[in-house]
Amino acid sequence: MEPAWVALGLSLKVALWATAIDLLLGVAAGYALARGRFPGRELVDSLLLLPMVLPPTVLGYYLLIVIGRRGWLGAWLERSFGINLIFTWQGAVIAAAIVAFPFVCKSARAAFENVDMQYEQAARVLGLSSVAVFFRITLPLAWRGILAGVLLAFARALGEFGATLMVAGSIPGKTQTLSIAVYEAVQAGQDDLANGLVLLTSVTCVAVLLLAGRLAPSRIPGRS
Amino acid sequence: MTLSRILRSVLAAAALSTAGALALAADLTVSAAASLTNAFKEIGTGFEAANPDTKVQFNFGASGALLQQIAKGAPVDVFASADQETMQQAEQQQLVRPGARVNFVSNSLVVVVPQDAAAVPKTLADLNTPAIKKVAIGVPASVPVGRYTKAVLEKARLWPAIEAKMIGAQSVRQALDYVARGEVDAGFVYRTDAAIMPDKVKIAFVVPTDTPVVYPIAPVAAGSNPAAAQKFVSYVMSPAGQAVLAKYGFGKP
Amino acid sequence: MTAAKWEVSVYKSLASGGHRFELDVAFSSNATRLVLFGPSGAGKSLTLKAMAGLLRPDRGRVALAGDALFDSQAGIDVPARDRHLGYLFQEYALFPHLTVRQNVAFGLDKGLRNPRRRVASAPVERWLETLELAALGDRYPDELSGGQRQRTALARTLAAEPRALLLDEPFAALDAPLRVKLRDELRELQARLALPMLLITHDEADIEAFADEVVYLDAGLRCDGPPSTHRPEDDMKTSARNQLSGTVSAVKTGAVNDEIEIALPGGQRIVSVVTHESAASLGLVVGAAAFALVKASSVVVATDLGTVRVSARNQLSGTVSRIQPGTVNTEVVIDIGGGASVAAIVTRESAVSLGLAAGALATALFKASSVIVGVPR
Repeated sequence: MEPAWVALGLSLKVALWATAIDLLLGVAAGYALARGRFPGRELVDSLLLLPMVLPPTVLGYYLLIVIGRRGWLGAWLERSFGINLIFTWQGAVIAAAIVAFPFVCKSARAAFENVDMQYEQAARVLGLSSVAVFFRITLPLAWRGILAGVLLAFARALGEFGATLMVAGSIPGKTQTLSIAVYEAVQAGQDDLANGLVLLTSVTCVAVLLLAGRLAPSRIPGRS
Repeated sequence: MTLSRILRSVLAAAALSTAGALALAADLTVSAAASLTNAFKEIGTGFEAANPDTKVQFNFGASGALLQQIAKGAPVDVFASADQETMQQAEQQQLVRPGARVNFVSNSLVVVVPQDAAAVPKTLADLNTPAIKKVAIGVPASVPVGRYTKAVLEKARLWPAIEAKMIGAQSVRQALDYVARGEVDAGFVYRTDAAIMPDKVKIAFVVPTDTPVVYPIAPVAAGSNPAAAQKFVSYVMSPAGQAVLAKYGFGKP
Repeated sequence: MTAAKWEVSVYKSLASGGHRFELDVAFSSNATRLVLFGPSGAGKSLTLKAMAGLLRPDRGRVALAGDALFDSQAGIDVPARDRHLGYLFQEYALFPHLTVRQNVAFGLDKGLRNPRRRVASAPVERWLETLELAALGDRYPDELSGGQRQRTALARTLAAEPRALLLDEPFAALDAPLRVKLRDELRELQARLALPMLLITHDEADIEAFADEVVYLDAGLRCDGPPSTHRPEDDMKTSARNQLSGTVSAVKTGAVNDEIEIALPGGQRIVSVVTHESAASLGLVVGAAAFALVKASSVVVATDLGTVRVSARNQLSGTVSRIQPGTVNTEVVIDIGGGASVAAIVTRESAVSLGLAAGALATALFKASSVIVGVPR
């Protein structure tokens, strides 16, 4: 069952990296959307949520066009840094990050909007800078909602298939995540392997959910 | 009164829209190897013209994947594979009608490179140079072109070296796509595939194979329309069908 | 001339959901304890927020003791965090994820991290002591009563050593007995700290308790003019606890002054004396709507006048509806019918010796010269 463990390790690596990226970008975007007042805000919101509604293969195709060797971003990356993202685990991370981003962004926006501005105002009057207010008041009061989004994003990234396959291909040990491994095993008629991989994926997901349950604090401080 | 009329119209519309999903008596589902995509689509049109009461649906993919679908009960009537081995497996699993299998075309294995490639390999050994960093090869477990490639490379004792650079493709058309996009430096496809995209890929050299690349076709045993299935196979073998295949670069069986 | 303690003039046009609201407030005062009075929706909170830097006026100026915090013409807009003002929110805005101690200690460290649960800080402990919160230091806001929350909010504000206190209806969320108690406490605290204080409220009792000076607000508007200017038609600043509205029923023109009689709904009448000029400029003619303003401390309470004759022209009888004992004085409210009532301040001893209790018959007495007449804008 060697290939199965390799695929699992790869899936976890890709999903963790993608989720970490989404945490940073999603929280930032969620905050900007929740607190910002600028023209076209809702349009930006819709655009950022697009990966959630577009079919993964469509996303994968767009990505391929952009970061492929002939794409405008990919060509520039190759010219300037010699980096090629196609068929690499980094490419898989990008595909998974894009696909899972809306989960964090949407949850973060809702969570921030639920934080009563009075708390932020009180903190400001007490002498805190905007950054301090964010880290001491806004984020602590919003983090549970954000966490929910992060977990969904992780699960989505873990199961990502369509876009990843297009962008990163299926290279055992490098980009063949669990989902892709299952697909190939089925195509090749290797049912035993497929069953084993599916079981492994299910156990992993359950473990993630249990771990998430542990992370939630035992004390819920007052209403927001 | 009006409500029941509306209800009846809705039901009729629903029935019509699901008609496509149901295998009605005059419908045929053909699963064919990816390399047959263009040729078979044209053959399908011709077949429907000759048999107005039959509609043909195609399902293209890697032969190995198609086999798995049939094995798991997909409602397919005809199966056309890109190599003998897959059809062999189909016969072993009693998925196709015994004795009804027939070879209908042949093809050749080629190495293609992107149209603007600087390094153009001339032999298999040339693939083993640093200039060639990535090579698209169909996944041997399920894609016939990959199996042909592996056999050829193993014979040339180059398989371990090239496998290290291999980018696995789920079908021959995906391998072709990788080359067309320039994501790989070279790829193994059929000559007929290379002909599809002359502006994006060019043939570097033809690869002689020990096993001739001959495609078999057979009606599926569990198919719901054996008469039409047999008619389709016959059509493929007929001068009309063969002419279309020749047009796309396939050779005689 | 030294700069005024409070110098506020803000203009802001707001639109929300199809409604437009114009805030146009200006006042300037040297009072240490200033009260902004007006009905709900008058724009008091907005004014306070503008002063604290939580709202940016379209134009105007906010200055404390000459120190400009906002000046649209000079291009000054000091951020809220640098204004060093204490702001008490109506709902207290206690941080729900921090304990009482952490809340109070909050403003002492302006860094990126919240004070620890076990924060050991002498000033913090002192404030907890002063506001009787020492035993509650480790509790969370949702475990506190209304009064405890208010005190925590106050401790938090004061611990940050503000130069002035801005209070947004600090007692609105509390029930009556608590209000009285906390009013007294706040008054003592403010006196002890000598902190300038601006309090906004729609409760008249707050005026009586705190105001050195009152500014009236209604529908976002307040008229201009320093406190010494009396222009009855547009400036109604009053510390009078009693504002009885009615209609002018008689005008008796005298040599220098006019005697104005105002009929109250409910039948009773009030007599006031105003100058000719005032009567003319206020447009006091029979049938005009008018207010009678009387300070509660000018009202004398009698329970049994019998055949006693008094020189006070105003004698309004009714029943005692409420008695509010304070630390030194007692507030007595007499219901005189027609929905009107008169409040009087008497000493505790008097209230006791008169046997004043709710439901008792009583008469409110005050001189005609104690009555100020005003007209609605």
